[in-house]
Amino acid sequence: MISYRHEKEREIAIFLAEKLADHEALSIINSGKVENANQARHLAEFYWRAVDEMVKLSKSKSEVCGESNLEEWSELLFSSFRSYLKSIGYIREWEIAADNA
Amino acid sequence: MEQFRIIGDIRDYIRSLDEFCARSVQRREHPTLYMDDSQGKTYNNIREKDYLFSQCKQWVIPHNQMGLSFSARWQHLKEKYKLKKKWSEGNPVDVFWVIDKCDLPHGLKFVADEKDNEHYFLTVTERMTSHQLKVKLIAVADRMSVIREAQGAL
Repeated sequence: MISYRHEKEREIAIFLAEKLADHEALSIINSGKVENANQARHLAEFYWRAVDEMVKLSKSKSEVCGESNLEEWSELLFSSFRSYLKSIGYIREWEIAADNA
Repeated sequence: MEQFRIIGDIRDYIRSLDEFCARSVQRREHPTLYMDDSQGKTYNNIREKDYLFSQCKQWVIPHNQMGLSFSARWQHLKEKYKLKKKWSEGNPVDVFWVIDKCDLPHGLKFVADEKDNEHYFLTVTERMTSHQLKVKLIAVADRMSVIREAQGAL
């Protein structure tokens, strides 16, 4: 299961998946687990799209789930998603998505 | 702080080290302190979510999985650099680093993230005031080397 240090990370990830209309990411985050390499790749790619969205929201002074310090939340989600994918053997999918972001 | 001018040389040097701890930092930001709350609530220039604070926020309590975040492998550093770059609005991002076995101030210790061995925390090993921790973090920063304009190297 994806393990978050702060429950708010999950709320923010869900908000961003909904905002980006990314149903696959929403399904993964809601279930808390990745079932295969394709889902691993999708979650990793979603993360970097979500970062771009957080940067945009931050520039427009928008809050997400009551939080305005979105850079810090992007770091927390980085650790949660990366360590999860690494723990289940999908670090390569994460690294490729990061290299292409 | 030493400034390395030959980025390729220092990149190869870092890659040759068994263990290092590095942080990506926007130009003009401090390598170990946060000078305002723009990246999260701070006490004495230390981010609240990085350390375990007492309820009164005057003390920092030891926790072996909490501390300032450092990359311990090149791939992790490259990814954290990319993340920092996305937030930098075009400003240069520098990489500050130390060897993880360096002579840290008493009460500080690098500990591997139990969930990701490419990531380390600079933990506190004994209860101390946030002011004491701030002084120690400044001392760590003084021991760090820096790669300027790291984008080309990463």
